[in-house]
Amino acid sequence: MKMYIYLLVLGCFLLKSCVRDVDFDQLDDIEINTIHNFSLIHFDMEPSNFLDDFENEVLMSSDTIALPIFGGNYTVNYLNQAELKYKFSNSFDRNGSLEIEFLDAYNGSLFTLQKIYIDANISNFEVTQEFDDFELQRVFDTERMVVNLKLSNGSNPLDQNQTYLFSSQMALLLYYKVKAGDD
Amino acid sequence: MKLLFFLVFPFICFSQNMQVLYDFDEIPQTLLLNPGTNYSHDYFIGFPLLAGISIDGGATGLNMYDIFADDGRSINDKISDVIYGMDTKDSFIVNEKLDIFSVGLRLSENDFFSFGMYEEFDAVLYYPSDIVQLFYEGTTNLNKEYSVEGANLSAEILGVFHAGVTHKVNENLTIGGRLKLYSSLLNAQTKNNRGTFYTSTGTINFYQHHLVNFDATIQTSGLIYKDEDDFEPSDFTRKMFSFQNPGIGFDLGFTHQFSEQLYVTGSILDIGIVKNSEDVYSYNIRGDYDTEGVELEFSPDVRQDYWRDFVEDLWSKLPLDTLHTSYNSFRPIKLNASVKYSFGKPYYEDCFESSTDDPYLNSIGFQLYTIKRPLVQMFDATLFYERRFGSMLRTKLTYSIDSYSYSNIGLGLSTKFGPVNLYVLADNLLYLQNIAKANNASFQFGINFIFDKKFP
Repeated sequence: MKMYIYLLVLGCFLLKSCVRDVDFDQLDDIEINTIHNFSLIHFDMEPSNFLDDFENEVLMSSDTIALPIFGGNYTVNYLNQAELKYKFSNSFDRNGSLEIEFLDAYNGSLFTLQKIYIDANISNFEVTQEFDDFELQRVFDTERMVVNLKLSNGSNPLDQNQTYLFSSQMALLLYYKVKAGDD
Repeated sequence: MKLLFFLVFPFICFSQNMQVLYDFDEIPQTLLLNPGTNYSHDYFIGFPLLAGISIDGGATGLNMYDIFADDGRSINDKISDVIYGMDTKDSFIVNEKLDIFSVGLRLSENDFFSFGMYEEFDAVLYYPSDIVQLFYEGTTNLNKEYSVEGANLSAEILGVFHAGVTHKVNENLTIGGRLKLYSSLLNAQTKNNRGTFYTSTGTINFYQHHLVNFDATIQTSGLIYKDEDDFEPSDFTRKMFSFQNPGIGFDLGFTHQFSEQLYVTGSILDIGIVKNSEDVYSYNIRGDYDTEGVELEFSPDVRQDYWRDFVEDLWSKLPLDTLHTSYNSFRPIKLNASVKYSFGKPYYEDCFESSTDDPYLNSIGFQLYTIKRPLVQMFDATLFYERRFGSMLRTKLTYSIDSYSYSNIGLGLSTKFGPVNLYVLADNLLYLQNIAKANNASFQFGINFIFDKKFP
């Protein structure tokens, strides 16, 4: 009988499991910050890009790219900040400007980032644009991105044979903050 | 995210070895670990669905304490330590078995026949170190190469229909074999994953992203649904009994008695293959790809669909093939071996009614176990002590060294009140006072009805 009581006590002791010296509330403190950098677009513009078939100057140029990359659950849940990083080189003797507009699936404008001005005869001019809260809230609906490029008027007319070059590099920087308590 | 942690951690705290159950004579389920066990009773029938429930699992290189220790350090620092401390040999393993029915009967004094069916879930996931680091670090570490080689996964759910015979060749030798018919409900396995991803400084843009020598395959079959809402519980039983993805295997085992007190045992389990031919979806991605982003052309005449062109270019250079061809999967082969020495007859031998052929109260011994896993062979060495208290209670205490720890203490209790056999077995008991520090644990429980009507 003694033996059975002993075994019972032993069994109860062993089977009474618990978790000590741990604090599961720390889950709420989990915060993982990651930055994903992507090269997004780049382009080179020569004088011919600003001339029509009749050699008339067309100083405003625009292009659109579908960009269905913001709608994923991970991005929607954890994107904390976004930036566009640019590098310009402009050998034209004219200033230029660039403006980025984000469109939704119905081509409705979500927001337009502040216009960037690029001086004439400049190389490796770097700019970083951080999305503000309004833009960050709306970016998830982005389906397309419009790039508007403009050269200013100049005293010397553009000619196809000129060797001017306006080049641009653009990267997207996505800052994610993953918190355990987010969902 | 919280839910994910609580779903994952109970599993990673659970080992794969059933060292307490092995050669625990009275329990019928020992026949599933060694068909050559010298089983001493005449009949058994397992309580349907409750004859054998076992959950085993483990994680090498990680336990709950590593993350949640209340030690004043930031949990984010501890997560970082774990992410960089584990490597691709570290694994998360879960094994679950449910005995649906089991029956055993003595055919003659020397032959014992047993059959039944159980469901088994077995999964091993190797820690994909580089992929986790890529997720954790982002793409800011230029030129750091992240390999997919560490991404290895194997998971299966099977119904196993089995029948085995134990034959006593002579007084010293008992041999046994078990035929198994598998019906796979679900299988998923990766094959030959290789390739690296890295980001470098670009030439025409800020960054150049590289996928190099990529070749990754995952094979799946059975109950894999694109939409989880499509799953019906009845699919589980339908699939189990349909044998759409059938397999065959066998177990072999022996017991050799050197003397009344000393014997050795050995078994090899699950030498088997499953042919996965129904509901097969295998995916292979192979190739190389480099990009610095999309070049805009600002062509006023032609409206370019840059994104479509980009995606088409990506898939042409890095094609993702979906295959429906059948493939074979192999069961993880297990080996068991033991040496057992019995001693200590009861003081009042005349009053003792032994329910077995073994009249000794105590046994000590040594067991070895190994299982073939996709990347590494896992080993376990166990010292054990068995003690019988009358005919109603048997206990087994084990100390194991395994892939997870050097301090795994296990205990098994098996009672027999009349024909009712109830057993509870567990290991890693040292950590029961603080489960958080355990890398692994296993638990088995079952109810059987055992009858003795000695054959003439």
